Amino acid sequence: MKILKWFLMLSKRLYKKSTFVALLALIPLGVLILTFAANRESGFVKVVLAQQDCNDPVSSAIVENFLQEKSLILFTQADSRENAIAAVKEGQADAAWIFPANMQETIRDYSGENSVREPIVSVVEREQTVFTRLSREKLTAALFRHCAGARYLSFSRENVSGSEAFSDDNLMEYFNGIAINRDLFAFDNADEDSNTAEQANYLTAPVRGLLAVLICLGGVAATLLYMQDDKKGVFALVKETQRPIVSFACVMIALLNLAVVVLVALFATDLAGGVGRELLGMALYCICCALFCLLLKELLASIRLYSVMLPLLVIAMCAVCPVFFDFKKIGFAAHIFPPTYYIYLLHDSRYLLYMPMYAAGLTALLLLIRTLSNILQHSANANRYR
Amino acid sequence: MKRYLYLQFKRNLKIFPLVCSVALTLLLCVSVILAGVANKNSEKHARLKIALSGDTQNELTQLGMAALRTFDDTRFSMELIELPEDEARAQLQSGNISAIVIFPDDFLDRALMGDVDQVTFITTPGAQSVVTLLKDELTKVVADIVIACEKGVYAVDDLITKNDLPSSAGQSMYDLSMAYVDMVFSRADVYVLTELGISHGVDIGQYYICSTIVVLLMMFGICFVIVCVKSDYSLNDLLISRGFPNYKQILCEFLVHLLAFGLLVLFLLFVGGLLFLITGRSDLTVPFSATTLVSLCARTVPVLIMLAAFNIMIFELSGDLISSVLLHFFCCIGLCYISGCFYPVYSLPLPLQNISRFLPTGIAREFLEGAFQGDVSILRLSGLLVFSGVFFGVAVLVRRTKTLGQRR
Repeated sequence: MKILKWFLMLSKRLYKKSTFVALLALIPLGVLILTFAANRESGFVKVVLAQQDCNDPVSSAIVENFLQEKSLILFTQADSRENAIAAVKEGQADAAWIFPANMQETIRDYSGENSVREPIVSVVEREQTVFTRLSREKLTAALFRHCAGARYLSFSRENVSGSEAFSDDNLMEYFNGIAINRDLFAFDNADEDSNTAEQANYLTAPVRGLLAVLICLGGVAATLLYMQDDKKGVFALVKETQRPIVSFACVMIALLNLAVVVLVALFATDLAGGVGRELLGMALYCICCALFCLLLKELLASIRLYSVMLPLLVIAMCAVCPVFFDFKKIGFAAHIFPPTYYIYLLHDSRYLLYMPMYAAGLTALLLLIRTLSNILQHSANANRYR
Repeated sequence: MKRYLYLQFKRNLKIFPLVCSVALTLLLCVSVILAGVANKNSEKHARLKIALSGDTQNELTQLGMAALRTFDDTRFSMELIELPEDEARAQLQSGNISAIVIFPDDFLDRALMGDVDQVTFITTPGAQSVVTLLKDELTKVVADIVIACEKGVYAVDDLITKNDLPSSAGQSMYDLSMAYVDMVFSRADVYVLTELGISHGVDIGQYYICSTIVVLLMMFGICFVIVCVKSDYSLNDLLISRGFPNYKQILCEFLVHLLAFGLLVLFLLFVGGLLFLITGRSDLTVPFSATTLVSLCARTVPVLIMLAAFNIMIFELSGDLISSVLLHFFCCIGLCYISGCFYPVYSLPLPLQNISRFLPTGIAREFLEGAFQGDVSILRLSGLLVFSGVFFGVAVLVRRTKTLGQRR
């Protein structure tokens, strides 16, 4: 009954603030909008395609294929070479691929046995990056399909006796008649618990990490609020021995509220894992965040210092934790912050064990610092009274 | 007004030294990270490390790998290393490599006869590396090339065997495979590349300098939450009764906050410049000229005005500590994300790109980019000032509601 009373009292002071309630509603809404927008057409590299002759069947087939394909490379089409180059110059595209007229003939000339290999396509780029280099591989693969056929034809004519009895179309029937429909690559994942090798959408991939940082930040803010209230004497009637429990409860209430809306957001947008793992993981994560925030409170002591450290903490978590990129080389630094555990939990169930260990470590540190500060305070008081 | 201004100034001054220390620490950490990233992106380190496991000891496989390392264009973006499978998996987990490719037994011997076995490609899911993002693209490229070669090799076999032609099918298949290998290594010859260079627009480094400035300045706003957030409006109410209206109070708070922000930026520039001179790192190439730096600093002023007004509005809207911090963070991250401060704006879906042009953070980023383009950007400057006015107006309205509510 007493616990319920405390729960209601601590919750009331949060729900009295209309902004806090509005924020709780905004979180799932924001995530939903982002997920909806992320499913629209987008690409990490933008390539504009142009044909010198729009009626050329080979270049039209290649361009059509690129435009219809779902890819990290966003393809658009320009109506002329000049417009394509202008798009690159003005920064509207990363590269322009310009296909010549008479592609079939050009490809045949390129692929002949002893031919001089004149380039087929013009590529115009603003600057070379890893992504534009890799996107050019897509171009070469598309052209290679046609070049391989032309090379087979040329090879058959030059090296296979009796091929003169067949027309080009007859020879190509053998090539086109080969249907290879199996997958060359089998994908696998290094992490045990992943069921499929589906690729993360790069736009929604950081959402889970950002929500984890938001929850942690909520814990920090709740700790600040507790420190302010403590200074004002709100908890003056609470026994000294019970203060740590009260401070933990204050932080946990705020965290649990945020946790509920974050879970709603994740499940509504299909960014969550299994229900059991998510619920247990979130509960453990809230405990870890609360302990982490209280540990910081003991280390920093002053309200001003604590509040001023906020941006440093936020940026440290966003940079070091695997929110945007997973720098495994700084794995130790990443494991100092709670969001790392929550992010890895999605793909690795071992983190359901690591989180309690992390919480135990934080608790031990917290007790150690409290004990040390009590000892120091006692000795300071003793010196004062001498 | 002067006394209230002085009061606000004193309040902000109490935390100013702390804010400067934290901002300096943040700037140093960001500089170290960016220096590390720049070093990583140098020719030597920019390549993705991919481990090859399984049947790699075959003579032809070794020859192929040597050829890839020496001749192929992928040597500029990928580094192929041979590792046993167990060691490769351990390296993948520790982040030393980006992916593993496992070849089945007798892979190449069978491939040369047109029978290509399935190859296993391993990455770590959820990891945001280039390889994971482009996994499907890379493997499709390889699959398309291999399948095209297979078709040609099988076609020549069919042509000879089905028509009983005198040529040796096995030898022809082998010779055509070698011809295809030659074509694969010289596949970059199918296109001619023209690099325009950055004469209009900004390169990716300049883009992220501007984005980082916007993100950091937005984040610094959270430092002031402890002095700017009010839950008790008694003093403000008293000031109104003494003829000191809400808008003047907000103006004083805004001016002091702007001053604190401006001094912070000046402090960081000063310390940053001093460190640069003291360390005497002549080998460090600054990515822009002195004129550009001055232009960038000058352009930061209207951005600071807009962000200061934004902070005042957020602190006024929230009214308590937890809501302030969370709302500020949520708005910062949301606005910066959609404005292309994390991912380049052209990589976002078109609806988000269209929205980002009208967001204050998007306008701020584009305005700063103008320093590199030599662009005057009157329209964007107007946009920043309009947003500053809107945020200021909202803050005044909210304050009015709160003090009016209190008096009732």
